Amino acid sequence: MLKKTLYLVALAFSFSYAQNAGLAAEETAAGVQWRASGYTCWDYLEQRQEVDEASWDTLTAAEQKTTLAEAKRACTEAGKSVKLLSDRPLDGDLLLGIDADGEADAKACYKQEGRVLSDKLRILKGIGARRENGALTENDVKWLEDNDVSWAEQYKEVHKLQALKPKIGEDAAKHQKQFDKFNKDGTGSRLSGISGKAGDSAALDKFFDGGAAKKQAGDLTGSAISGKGLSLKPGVMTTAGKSPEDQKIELMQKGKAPPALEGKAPSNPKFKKDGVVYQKIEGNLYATGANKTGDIYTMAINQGQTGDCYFLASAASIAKQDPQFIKDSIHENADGTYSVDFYRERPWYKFWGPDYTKETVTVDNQFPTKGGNPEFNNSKGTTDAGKRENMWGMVYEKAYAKFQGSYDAIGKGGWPGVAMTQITGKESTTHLAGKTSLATLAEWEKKGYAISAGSYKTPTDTSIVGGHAYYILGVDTEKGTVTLGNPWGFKNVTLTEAEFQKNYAGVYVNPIQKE
Amino acid sequence: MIFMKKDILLSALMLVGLGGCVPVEKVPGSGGEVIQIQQSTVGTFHELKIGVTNIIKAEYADAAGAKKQGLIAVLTLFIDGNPPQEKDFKVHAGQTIVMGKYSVYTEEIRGTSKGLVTLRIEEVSKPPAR
Repeated sequence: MLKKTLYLVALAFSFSYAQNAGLAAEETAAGVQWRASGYTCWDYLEQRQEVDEASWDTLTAAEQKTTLAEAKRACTEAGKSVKLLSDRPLDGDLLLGIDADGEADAKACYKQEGRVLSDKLRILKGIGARRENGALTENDVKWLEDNDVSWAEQYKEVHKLQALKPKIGEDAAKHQKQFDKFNKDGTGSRLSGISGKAGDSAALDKFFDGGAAKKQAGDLTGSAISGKGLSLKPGVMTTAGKSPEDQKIELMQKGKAPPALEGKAPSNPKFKKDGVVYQKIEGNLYATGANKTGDIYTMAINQGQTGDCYFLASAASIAKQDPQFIKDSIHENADGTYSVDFYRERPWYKFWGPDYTKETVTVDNQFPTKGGNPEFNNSKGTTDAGKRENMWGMVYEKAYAKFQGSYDAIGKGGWPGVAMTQITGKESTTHLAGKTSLATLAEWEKKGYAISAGSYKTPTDTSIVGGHAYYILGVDTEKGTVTLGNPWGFKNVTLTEAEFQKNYAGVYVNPIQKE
Repeated sequence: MIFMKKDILLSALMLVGLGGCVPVEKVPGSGGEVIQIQQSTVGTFHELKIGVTNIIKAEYADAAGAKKQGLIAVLTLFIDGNPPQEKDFKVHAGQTIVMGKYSVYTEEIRGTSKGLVTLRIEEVSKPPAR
């Protein structure tokens, strides 16, 4: 029994020795230990170099040396590949970097580990392909999680979003149908879910589902997903090449939107004017750089086709006396919108609380235009690159329109004293122009007060705009004249005290923040 | 009750009638772009700005030289530039004025204070021969 056992051990040893005999000499000579780490060298030589024991002896010494060197290199590289399997998490990208030769080398050099590596590579390649095709499965995600593959979290998100794709496609088709019906009917009030009641701005949002749709589409292209070939883009959500948000704006411009879709920032204040549409106008709020010309009030206040001279003259008078106040009142937001501060007077029926409460109104950079030109207040001046400047007046007017309800609401005339108070939150005082001397005007001006004046409806001097608000540009007591700025942006007038008192009805004074 | 309703209706009609008492002078024209500008506001045609300074009742001479009493609009035409051009014109319905390359025809003057002027504006290649 013992003899038999010793025989079998000797036989096994001799077989093993014989299997690696050709390598042993080289290994010994080179002092290389690579075989000791478990490589099955004969398998490698047979499978990858078609050299077996029989043919080994037919090779010259140089050929054997070259063959062994290649075997050593290949198995060393295969060793690195196999070692990746023990990393946690498994690096999916590195694993997929192993090519077919590397995979075969690993299987030849490392039998079991090589086969495991090969299996995992096959599965990973399959999952990668399904990601590309938008066909990831729950099992794919589960396998990645179970095997602690680095892709797991990312692919989990991709799978969720890919699952949304059909839903988004359905929504897009649904929106198209609704959009067609909306256009056909010509009025939102006939659509179910849109009441047209005041404050029902959410209805149109719901109708188009613009916000939600945009969010989904945005998520799909977000930086968190680097999945190649992910085909879900915002374009999926468009109808006739336009995003739901753009469609909504276009409908509101055409006046097809339900009557009360205002009040939700940054919705646009309404107006009734044929051929006038909202259009994005980009530019700087103020003048910058060497190209800067003029004062902020003359460059930014240029009245258009609406009767809001009282507001524009008030804004100009304040900007002239305290430009920083205007700059402090308009805030540029990170999303490209503007928030403007106004002050609301306490309602007559309330006997408590502050006299004026600050309200901040947010507007975007879309303005009513006709033929591409602003229909209402316009700006002057451009940068060297041709970019529009001094847009604060346009922004201020739009925000005031929103504060008061609409462009139409502010375009029917008003009192400069009230407008100045709404801008500053400070009480204005009103004086009879006929009893206001140039000396008094000069004194107010010196104190830094904003001063505006309203002309009679039918001034005796027909060069003075009738029933119009101006702002005081300057008082020259030596010459005995007062120069009044016209919110039109042109046609200022310089008058003597007598001419001023004869053609103007009221003078409106506001301390801004001086008191 | 019926009487009261009639009374209210009559009052309403009277108000409408009073509301309709707006002086209007119109001489229809053709061509150009039609722009309506309210008194004390500014209309824009390309680089040309037109402010309606006043609308008044006054005597003027029509195209045939006959003196007439009617509506006159004081228009201020402005072209920004270096230097800017600014000029006042007193126009009646049916009158054409020219500033720079722009021809402005006054088609209608409606109302007085806070009235409305309807203009036809077009670019002309050169000022008409005098």
